[in-house]
Amino acid sequence: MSLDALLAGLDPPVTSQADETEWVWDIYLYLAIGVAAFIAVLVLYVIIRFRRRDGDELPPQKQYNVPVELAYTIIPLLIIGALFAITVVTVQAIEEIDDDPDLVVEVTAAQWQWQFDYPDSGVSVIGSGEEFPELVLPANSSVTFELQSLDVIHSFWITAFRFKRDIIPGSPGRFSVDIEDVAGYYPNAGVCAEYCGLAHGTMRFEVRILETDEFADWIAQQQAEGSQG
Amino acid sequence: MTALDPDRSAEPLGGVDHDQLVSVDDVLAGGDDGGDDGSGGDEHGGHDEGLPKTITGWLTTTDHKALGIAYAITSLIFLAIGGSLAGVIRAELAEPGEQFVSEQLYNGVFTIHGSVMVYLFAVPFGFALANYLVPLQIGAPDLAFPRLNAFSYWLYVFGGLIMLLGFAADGGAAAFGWFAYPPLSGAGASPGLGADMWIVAIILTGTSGTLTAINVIATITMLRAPGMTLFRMPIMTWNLLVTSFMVLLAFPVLSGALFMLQLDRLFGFRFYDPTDGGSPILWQHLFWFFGHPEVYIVALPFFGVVTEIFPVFARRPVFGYKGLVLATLTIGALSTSVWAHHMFVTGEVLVVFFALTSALIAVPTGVKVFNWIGSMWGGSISFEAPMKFSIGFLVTFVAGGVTGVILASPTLDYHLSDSYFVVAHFHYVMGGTVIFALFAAIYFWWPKVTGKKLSERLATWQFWLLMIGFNTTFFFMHFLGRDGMPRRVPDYAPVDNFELWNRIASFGYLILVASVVPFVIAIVKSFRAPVTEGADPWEANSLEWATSSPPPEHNFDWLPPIRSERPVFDLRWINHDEVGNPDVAEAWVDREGIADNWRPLAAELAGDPPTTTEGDQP
Repeated sequence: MSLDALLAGLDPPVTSQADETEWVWDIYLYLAIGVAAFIAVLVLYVIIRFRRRDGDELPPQKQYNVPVELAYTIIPLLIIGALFAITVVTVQAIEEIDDDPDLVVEVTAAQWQWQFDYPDSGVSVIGSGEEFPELVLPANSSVTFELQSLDVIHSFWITAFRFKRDIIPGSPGRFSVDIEDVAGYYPNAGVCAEYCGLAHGTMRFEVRILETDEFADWIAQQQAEGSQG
Repeated sequence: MTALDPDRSAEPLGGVDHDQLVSVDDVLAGGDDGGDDGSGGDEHGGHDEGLPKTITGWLTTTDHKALGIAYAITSLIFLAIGGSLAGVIRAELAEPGEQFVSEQLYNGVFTIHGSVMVYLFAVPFGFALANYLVPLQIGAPDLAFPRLNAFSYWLYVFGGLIMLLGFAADGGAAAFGWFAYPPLSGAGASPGLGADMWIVAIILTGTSGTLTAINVIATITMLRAPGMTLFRMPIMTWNLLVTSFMVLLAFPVLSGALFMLQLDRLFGFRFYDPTDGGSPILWQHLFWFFGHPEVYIVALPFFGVVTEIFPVFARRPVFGYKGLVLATLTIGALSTSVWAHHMFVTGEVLVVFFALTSALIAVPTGVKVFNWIGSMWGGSISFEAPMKFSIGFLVTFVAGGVTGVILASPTLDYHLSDSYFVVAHFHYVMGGTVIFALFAAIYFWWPKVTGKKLSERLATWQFWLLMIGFNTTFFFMHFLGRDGMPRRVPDYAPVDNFELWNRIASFGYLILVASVVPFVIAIVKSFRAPVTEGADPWEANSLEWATSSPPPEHNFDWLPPIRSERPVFDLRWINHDEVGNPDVAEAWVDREGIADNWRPLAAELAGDPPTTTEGDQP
C-alpha cells in the first residue's frame, strides 16, 4: 500500500468492522483516482489537440451526439450502482448491534471530558485535567458501546475503528465492534469529532487494547483501587 | 504527430474571410436609434453608461447593473475578510500547540470564516451574476422588481455588517460553527450577544436571498424578449433560474429554523432543548434541508459561468444543451433529498436512502463535466484568461467531485465525517471551483462592464499562483483527515505527518495570498486605461454581447433576431446559413419596413439565397 505510506499517522484497523471499511475505502479510492486521472488526461488531450492554430477555420458546430451523451450518463450510473451496492452491504454489517457482547462500555461525554464505565465490573475511568483518559479494551472480543451526552453534541471517534458515532443529548445511542487480535497502545486514536465548544480540540482519549487475560487483570486492579479509594 | 495537423477538409466553411462576418459593433453603429424588437427600446442613442455618477446615485440606485456591480464588490470584500480569517486559522495550525489566538477567539474565527464565505461571499456573488446578467441575457431592460432588488441588496449589506460586528460584542462573535448545532448554540452553552447577532444576520441575508430569487424567477418568466424561448436561454440563465427555485425552497426553511433557535435563546422556548422534550436532531434536519441545496445554490451559477465560457473560446456551441438543462434540473431536484448525508454519523437517519440519492447526484454532475469537455472537443481553443480559469475550475471540480462520491458512502463517511478530509472536499467543490469560476467570470465580463480588457499577462500569473497555492493548501488536508485529524481544532496531536501536512497547508495559504496581487494590479491598471473594447470583444454568443460595452441604461437599443441560444453567433454568421440558424436571415428580412434602421446585412439577403461566402459590411 504505497498510498498509505503517506498516512503513517493512522493506526491500522483493529476491528472486523474496520476491515470492512478498509476494503471499501480501497475500492473507492482507486476508482476515484482512476476517474480523476481519466478526466485529467481527457482535458489535457483536448487542450493540446484542439488548441487554436494559425489558419483555423470555424470548427464543426455539431451540438448533440445522443449515443455519446447516453454513454456518459449510463456508465457513471452503473458505477454508482455498483458502489452503492457495496456500501449497502458493508454499512449493514457495520451497523449490526451485538445484544450479547463480551463487554459493554458506557461512554459518557460532557464538555470537555470523557468517562468510560464498565457496568459488569463497576469500573469507571474519567480523564483528569492534564491527562487524557484511557479507554481499555480486550482483544479478541465483542464490545458494545452505549453512548450518552450530558450537555451538547459530541462524537465518539476511534480512528483505529474507522468509525465514529455522534452522541446526542437526550438520545442515547450504541454500536458494536468485534475487536481482533491487535493488542497494543493507540495514543492518538480517540477523538471528539463533533465541535462541542471552547475546549473541543482537547477532548481526546487514548485507546489501549489488552490481551484477554491482561484485561481481566486490569479490571481486577481497577476494582481494587476503586474499593481502596 | 498527426494531432498537430488536424484534418479540416470535411468542413464546409473553408475560406470564409473573417472580416466579412457581421459584427455587433457595425450594426450598432449603423442606426442611431431603433428598438425594433419590442423590448428594451428607448430613446437612448449611443453609449450612455447607465451607471450612477454620484455617491447618492449609488446609494439609491435600482438599476440591475449598478446593483450587480455593488453585489460583486461587496461580496469580494467579504471574500477578503473571510480569507483573512482563514489566515488566522492557518497561522494557528502551522504548528501544534496554541500560539496566536485563544481557543475562544479561534472558535469565533472559524465560525465567522465559514459563515462569511458561505452566506456573505459565495451566494451573493451568484446574485451579482444574476443581477447583472439575467436581464442582459434575456433581452430585458431590468429585473422585474428593481426596488425590491435594491431592498435585497441593502438587507444583505446590513446582515453582513451585523455578523461582523459580533466580534465587537460582549463575549465575542458567535463561536458555534457555521451550522450552529443546538444545544451548543442555545442560550446555555453560547450566551452572549454575538450569537444573537449571527442569527439575525443570517435571517437578514436569507431574506435578501429569498427576495432576489423571487425577482429572478419573475424576470425570467415574464421579461424574456420576443423569440427568447426557454430552450433558447443561455445555460447561465437556466442555472440562475434553477438556483432561484432552490433558494425559494431552502432559505425560508433556514429562516424559520433560525427564528425557532432565537425563540429558544431569548424566550425559553424548547424546540431544540433535549432536557425538556425538544430535539437537537430537528435543527439538523431543518438546517441541512437548507444546507445541502445551499451547496448547489452556491455552485450552479458558477457552473453557468464556465458553460458560457467554454463554447466561446472553443468556437463551438455548448455541447448537449438540452442534456445540460436536464442535468441542472436533476441536480436541483435531487439536491432536496440528500440533506441527511451530513447526518450519517448521528445514527438517526436512514443512511441507505440518503446514500443512494447522494451518490446519484454524481451522475448529472458527471454529465455536466462531459458536456464541458464536449464543448471543447473538436473546437479551436484559445486560452485567454477566462478560459484558463474555466479549465482550472474544471479540474478542481473533478478533484472535489470524486471525494464527494467517497463521502456519500456511509461506510466511509463514518470514518471521514467531521475530519479534515471533509474540509478538503468542500474547499475543492465550494472553494476552489467558486474562486476559479469567479475569476473566469470577472475576466470574461469585465470588458462588458467597463469596456476594457484586463491584462492577460497578469491573469496568467494569477492563474498559476492560484492553481499552485490552492492545491498546496487543500490537497494534503485529505491525508490529514484520513489520518484522523478532526475539524475545528486549534491544536492537534504532534504526530509527525500532522505537522508536515499542516505546515505545507499553511505555506500554501501564503501562495494563495500572493495570487491576489497580480489581480489587484490588473484592476488598477484597467481603471487607468481607456475604453477600447466594442460590444463583443470575445466573439461570444449570448445577448449581453449584442449591446454596447458598457450597456446603456436600459440595456438594449436594438436586439438581433433570437432564433437559437446563440443570437449573437447567428447574427455574426447571418450570411452563411449553413452555419448560423437559417431562420435568422429570414427574420432579418422580415424586419424590412418595420424597423427604422433596417438595412440589408448582405446583398444576397435581399433577393438571392446566400450561396456565396461574401459578407457585406453595412
